Amino acid sequence: MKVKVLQEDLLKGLSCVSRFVSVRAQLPVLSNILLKAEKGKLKLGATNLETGIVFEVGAKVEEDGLLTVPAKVLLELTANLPPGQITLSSEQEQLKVSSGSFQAQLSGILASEFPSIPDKLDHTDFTISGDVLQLINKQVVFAAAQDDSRPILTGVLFKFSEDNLRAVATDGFRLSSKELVFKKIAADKKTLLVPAKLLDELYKIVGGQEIKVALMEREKQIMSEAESLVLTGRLLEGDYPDFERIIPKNTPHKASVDREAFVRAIRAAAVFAREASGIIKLVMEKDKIIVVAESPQYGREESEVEARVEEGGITIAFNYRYILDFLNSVTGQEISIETEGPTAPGVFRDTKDPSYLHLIMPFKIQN
Amino acid sequence: MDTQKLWKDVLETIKVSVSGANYSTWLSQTFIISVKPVGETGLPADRQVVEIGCPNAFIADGLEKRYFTLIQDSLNQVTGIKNEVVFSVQQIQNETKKTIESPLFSQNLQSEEKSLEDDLKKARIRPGFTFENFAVSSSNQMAHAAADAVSKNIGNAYNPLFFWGGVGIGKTHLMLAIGNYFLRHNPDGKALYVMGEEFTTEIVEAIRNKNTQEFKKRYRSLKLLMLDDVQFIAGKEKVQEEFFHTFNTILREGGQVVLTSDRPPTEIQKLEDRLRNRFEAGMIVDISPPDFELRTAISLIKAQQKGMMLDMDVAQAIAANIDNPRKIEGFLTRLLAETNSFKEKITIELVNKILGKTNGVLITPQRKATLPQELIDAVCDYFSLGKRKLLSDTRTRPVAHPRQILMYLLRVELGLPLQEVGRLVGGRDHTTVMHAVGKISTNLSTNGGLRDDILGIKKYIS
Repeated sequence: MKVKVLQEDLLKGLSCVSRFVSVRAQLPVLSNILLKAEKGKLKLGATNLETGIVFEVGAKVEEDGLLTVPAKVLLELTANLPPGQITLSSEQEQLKVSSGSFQAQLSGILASEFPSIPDKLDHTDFTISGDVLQLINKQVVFAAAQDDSRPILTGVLFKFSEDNLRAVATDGFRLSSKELVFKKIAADKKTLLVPAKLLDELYKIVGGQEIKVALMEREKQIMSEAESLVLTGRLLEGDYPDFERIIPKNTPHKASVDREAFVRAIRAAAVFAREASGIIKLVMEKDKIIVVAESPQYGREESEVEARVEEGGITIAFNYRYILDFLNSVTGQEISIETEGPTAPGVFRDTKDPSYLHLIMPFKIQN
Repeated sequence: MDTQKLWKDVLETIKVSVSGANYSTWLSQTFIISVKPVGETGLPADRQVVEIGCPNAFIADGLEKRYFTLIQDSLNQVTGIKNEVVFSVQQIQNETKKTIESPLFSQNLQSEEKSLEDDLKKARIRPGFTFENFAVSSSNQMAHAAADAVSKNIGNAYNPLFFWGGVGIGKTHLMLAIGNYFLRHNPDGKALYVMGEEFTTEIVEAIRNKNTQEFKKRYRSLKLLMLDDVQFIAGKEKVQEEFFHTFNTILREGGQVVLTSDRPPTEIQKLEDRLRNRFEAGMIVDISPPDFELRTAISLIKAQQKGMMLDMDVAQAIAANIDNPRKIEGFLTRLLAETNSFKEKITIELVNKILGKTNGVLITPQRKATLPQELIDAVCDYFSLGKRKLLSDTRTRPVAHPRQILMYLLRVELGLPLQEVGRLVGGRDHTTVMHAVGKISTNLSTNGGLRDDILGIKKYIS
C-alpha cells in the first residue's frame, strides 16, 4: 500500500472512526483501525464488534493494499503533524508514515485478522433527512436509558405508519415521543428498535446530512450511509414496553408558562435541589406556579412564575434534571404541564408543537 | 441431547486450541439455538444441522471465517456424527424474562398494590402472611379448612373462630391470612389485628385519657376483629368486660371474630365464664406441632420467599434437624447470609456444617441445661446398652450406631465442642465425632426410624 493524503482529511477521518474502537479490547486487533487503499480512495475502518464504521478519505492511491495499526498511536501521531501531505506506505506488518522531514514506523497487525466491516449498502430501505435525524436526536434520544441493565430501554423505538414515523424513548422515569412526517418505508416493517447510542454517534458525525438506511433482517443489523461513511449497528430485539398505555388521557390540572422564565426558575431551584436528590416541587396556584427547592444543608428557595392554570391547588415534585432536559429539547416560547394528580406522570409539551410529548414520573412526597 | 451441555463440551475442546482473548471475544457469548437431524425419514440420522446463535453479525461473520472448521470438527468429535454448522444472530434470551419495572410503567399496578398495602397497614396486618404460602398437612388441615371457610364467608361460617396451640405453629399466620384475604376482596372492609396485650394497653390508655367512646366506636364498628394471644386479657376485669361488649356488638352486626391462644378456653385461668362460654360457642381448633413432611414444606416455602433455591434433600435435612418453624426461618436466614458472603452453593454439606454450628447453640440460647452424663444415660437406657459397652472400643453396629447418635446429640443438642464430645465418648478423635454428626444429620432426612430413635431419647431426658 502506498497513499498520499492530506493531514487535515486524515485527522478528521481518524478522530471519527476511533470513537468506534473498543476501549478495553481483549483481542489486540480490535484496538486497531483498518487502513484500506483501493480505487483511488483511502478507507478507514473500525469496530467494537457491536458497531462498525467505514470512513472514506480522499487520497492519491499509488498502490492498493491494507493493514491495521493501533488507533490511538496513529491518531495522536497525525494530530501532531503539520498540515499538508502525508505519505502512508506499508511493508508487511509495518506502516511507514512520513511528512516533510518527519518519519515514523508503526507496527501493525495483518488485515486478515480484522473483522470484516461492510463498506457499502446493497439496497436502501428508507432515507432519513438531516432535519428528521436532528429532531429525533434533540427530542427523543436523550430520554433513552444509559445503563445496560435493561437493554431494551437503551433503544429508540421507530414506529412506522402510513405517512408518519413515531420515535419513542424511555428510561423508565421519563418518556419522549415525537411524531414525524415520513414516507412509508419499503420494507414490510412496522417497528424498529435502534440503539440510542448509534443515533447519537451518527448525528454527531453526519450532522444535517441526509442518510440512507438499509435493514439486514437476517443479520439483525441496521446500516446507514452518508456521503463519506457507512455505519453498521445492531438492531435491538425484544418487546418494547407498551408506552401508549401510560400516556394519561385525562389531565384536569394544566398550567402553561413562559419557557424562559420557567428555565430560570428551575435553574435557580437546582442550586438547592442538587443537594436534595434533585427534588423540586411545583405548586400550581390560581395564576402562577411556585417552584420550591429545599436542601437540609443549605436552606430553601422559592420562586414564582406567572402561568395560566386550570384546576390548580396541587403540588407535584420532579427531578429538576429531567425538567431541564425537556426544556432544552424544545424551542417554543411557551410550554405546558398537565397531570392527573400529584402521583401521576406529568405531561410536558411545547404548546406550539403537538407532535412532541414528554412524560416525567413525579416523586412521591410526604405532606 | 441437551444442547447446553453439548455446546459446553464443544467450547471446552475449542478453548484448548485458541487463545484466551480470541475465545472470550468470539466464542464466549455463543450458544446453540437448535439441532436438527437430517436424514431420510425412518432412518436414524447420521447427520445434523446445528444452528449457533451469536450476539451480533460481526461475531457471526468472524466465526464463520475463522472458526468454522474448528467448530465443525469439535462438534463431530463430541457428538460422534457429522455436523453442518449454521450461524445466526440472536441475543441470548435471559431465562428469567425481566419485566420492565420502573416508576413510569408500574404506576397503575403500584397504585392498586399501594392501596392494599395501606389497608393492610391500617388494619395492622403484616403483608406476606397469606393462604398461598401456608403449608398444610394433617396436623393443621382442620385449622386451615376452618380459616378458609371463615375468610370466604365472614361472620357466618364459624363465629368466633378460636385457634390454639404451641408457639410457632402458624396460628397467627392463619389469622393474618384471613385478614389478608378479607381486605383483598373487600377493600373498604374494616378489619383490625390486635394482640391481647395491645388491646389491654389501649383500653387503659382510653380510660386514662377519658376517650373510651372513641375506643368503643373504633372496635365495635369492625367487620373483622382478630385478637392474638387472647389469654393475656384473662384476669383483667375491666378489659374482659370491654372485650365482652365489643365481642357481642361485632357478632350482632354480622362481623367476624378470630382469636388465638396458647391453650383451649377451658384452660385459660381467670377467664370470665361468660367469655369462655362465648368462645366455646364458636369453632375451637387446635393446631399440633408440624410433622416432618410439613416442616420440609415450610422450609421450601420460606426459602422461596427469601429467594433461595433449596433441593429436596436439603429441605429434608433442615426439617429433620429443626423442629420449630421459627427456628427454620432463623436457620434459613443464617444459611442465606453464609451463602451470600461466601458465594457458596447451597449443598447438603454446607447445611450440615451450619446445622452442626448453630443448632442448639445460637438458635436456642435458653435450651434446657442437660448434663452430658444424663444424655449418655438416656442413650444407654433407650438402646438397653451398658454404659461401659457404649463407650468402649467395640465397633460392631449395635454399639457403634447408638454411639454415633450419642455424639450427634452431644454435639447438636448440647452444643459441645468436637473435642469435648470425643473425650466424653471414650476418648475419641474429633474427626470421628465430625463423621458421626455428619452421618446422622444426613440420614435423619431419609431414615424415619432414626428420627423416632432421637425423639425417643429426647423424651428420656426431658
